[in-house]
Amino acid sequence: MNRLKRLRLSLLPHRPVLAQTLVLLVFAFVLFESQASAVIRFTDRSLYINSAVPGAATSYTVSMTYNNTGVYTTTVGSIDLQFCIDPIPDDPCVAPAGLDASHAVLSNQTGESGFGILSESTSDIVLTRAPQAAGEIPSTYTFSNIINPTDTTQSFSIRLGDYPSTDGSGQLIDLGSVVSQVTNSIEIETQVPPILIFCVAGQVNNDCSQEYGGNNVDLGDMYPDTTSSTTSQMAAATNASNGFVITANGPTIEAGTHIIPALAVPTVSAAGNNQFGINLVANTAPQIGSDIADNPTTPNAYVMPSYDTPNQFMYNSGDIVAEATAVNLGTIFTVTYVINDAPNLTAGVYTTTITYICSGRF
Amino acid sequence: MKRFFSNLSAALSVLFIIVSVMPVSAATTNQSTTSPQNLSTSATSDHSSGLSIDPRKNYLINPGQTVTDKLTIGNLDSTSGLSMSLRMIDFSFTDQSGTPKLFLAANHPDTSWSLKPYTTLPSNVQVGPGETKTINYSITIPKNLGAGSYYSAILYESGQGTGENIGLGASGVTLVFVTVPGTVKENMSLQKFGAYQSDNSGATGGYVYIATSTPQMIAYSLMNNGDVAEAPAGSILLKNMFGKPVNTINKTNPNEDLALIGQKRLFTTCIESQQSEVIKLGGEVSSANQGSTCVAPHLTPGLYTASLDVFYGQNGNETHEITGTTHFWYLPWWFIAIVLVIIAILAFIIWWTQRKVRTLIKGSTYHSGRGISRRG
Repeated sequence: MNRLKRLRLSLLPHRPVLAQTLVLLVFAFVLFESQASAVIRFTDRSLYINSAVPGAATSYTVSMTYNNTGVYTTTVGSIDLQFCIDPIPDDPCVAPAGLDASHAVLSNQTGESGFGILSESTSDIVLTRAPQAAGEIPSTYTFSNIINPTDTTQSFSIRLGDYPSTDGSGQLIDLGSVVSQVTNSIEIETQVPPILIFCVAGQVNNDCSQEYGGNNVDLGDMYPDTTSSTTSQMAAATNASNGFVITANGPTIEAGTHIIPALAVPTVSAAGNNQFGINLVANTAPQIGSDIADNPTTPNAYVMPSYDTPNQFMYNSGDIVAEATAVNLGTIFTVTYVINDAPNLTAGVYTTTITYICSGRF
Repeated sequence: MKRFFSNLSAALSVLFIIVSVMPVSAATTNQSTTSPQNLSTSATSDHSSGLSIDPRKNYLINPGQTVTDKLTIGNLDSTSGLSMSLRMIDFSFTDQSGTPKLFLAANHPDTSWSLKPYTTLPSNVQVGPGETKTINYSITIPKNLGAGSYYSAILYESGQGTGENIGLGASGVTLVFVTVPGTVKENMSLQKFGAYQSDNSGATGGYVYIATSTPQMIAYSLMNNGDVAEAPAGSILLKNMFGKPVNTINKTNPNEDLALIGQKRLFTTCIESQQSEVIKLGGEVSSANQGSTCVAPHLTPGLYTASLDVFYGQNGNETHEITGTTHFWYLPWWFIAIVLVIIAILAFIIWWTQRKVRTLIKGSTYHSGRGISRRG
């Protein structure tokens, strides 16, 4: 009988098993963040470039403090300095364009000293000395005659590593990177300059080479039982990597002291009410407008959600209406304007001026 | 007398017609529901609303130094002249993105990072149809100005259309960033890090912990509490649930985006990206500004771990390092459906086995040495 009970328990464990399975599944989903694995790093690392002009021959001063906490040895015989775009030690090293450290001279050293240059190439310098214990003291190494990178669009780094050997081989003791960037104080003529193009008219093409309809649009005659609507277009393009942003600025439509209030939130057009609003999308009620005409090569331009719902209109001066998040070769945006007027609206010529401001992003 | 009234009547009629076509500020007509409320005039286009400008300028200027540079302004309209007024305005950030918040009001107080007091700029410029013009401007950094980042914008305001209901104006902005070298306060902290879902290349979106569609982006948010704009650089290592590296993202800040002073900045990057050659806005292929679009990475369903390692630091200042680790699940609907079916099958097998065994136990007797046999 006991064996039968054991058999039953072994064949009918479903309830605890199911419960356990569910608990395990729940726990599998609940994960806690953990810290990155600890590595021994130089502390107080910095890089000073005497002249940050692209392509200039200048001096670099690398500063760091040796970290002896938890290291397998404090004996240092060499330091490897690797010039890479990516500062992460384990990643492949791509040398910054234009950089040349092959004629660098170690012109000064403080703190842990006694080093000389063992080898140097365009993007790598190995310092060597007779192996000896390194103290946890701030140390600096100044190299003259290094040619700066020429690309001002991205930062670069020097990956540092020290070794007990005299030639930068063997097991690493400390590691760490320093980062910097060359900056052009004046535009370099040889570089492709960033450009932002922008146009507004009744109709435009995507590179703004053609504009039709002038810089104003007409809504025609307004009647309380119908919605007045019209469109304008704008195009923007940039080769700047951060893209562009367009805001709409100006008051709502008004005639002297009489104003038609702008719709503060996306709202359906309703004839017989005082309403002014815009959107940048194809509508069916009223049937007017067009969707964004993005460039197929750089489809990264977007209409902001508040102005991207068909048949819903709003307008707040200063609102962002559209943007592109990267290089964009030309996008056409069609703006639809709708006006509704209440029967008791005072007669007059209702006008406004909307200025679209296109700026780069950062 | 009759002629007088006739002339008066005619004059009043003409006056009425004139008044009725004037804006309401000058009109005194009563509103009628049947008569139109606007009599429009014909369209006019007397000036260009198409321009090309420099979107951004970066400078490194020492205290006491003056930098003079050129601004290039192009008139894209081949038939009309471009008349622009220029002025400096300040800007800040709009949100976590790189969208500037422009302070357009002429009387807006200068920000603490403003370049307005140090910039000399022409107030207007005329550019002929289809022409390009360069103008000089200069920035002088006072000797006693502290190190750090300073930024403002140049606003180019074109003429605005008139004569219709809605006049249109096109204005452009050049963002100007100046770094004054020296010892600065740098302090950025990691606020959030994880997989990021966006339908529009990061313009809008949100962090996800469980993604049912393939996550294409990873993002991190950094709070800049220093007094200098920062552009961090580093890499992200992505591993699967077995610890095997899936991808290393070498460019955690591919567009060199800036975190402005006081900004909590979102940095997004593609897990896998596709480089596309971008034709320069002049017709040539640009190698400097390649387009990069996110593509769906080849991820299998499961748990992923991402490790962030980014660096930042101004020239001559300490290089700071920020690390972080995050996890996310990629569980597509088809995978969830398969798992549910498997669970259902397992549950059925357990239920069926239980039922069978119960039947077996209830309807059987155990005889030692002979196993279980049916009663009777």
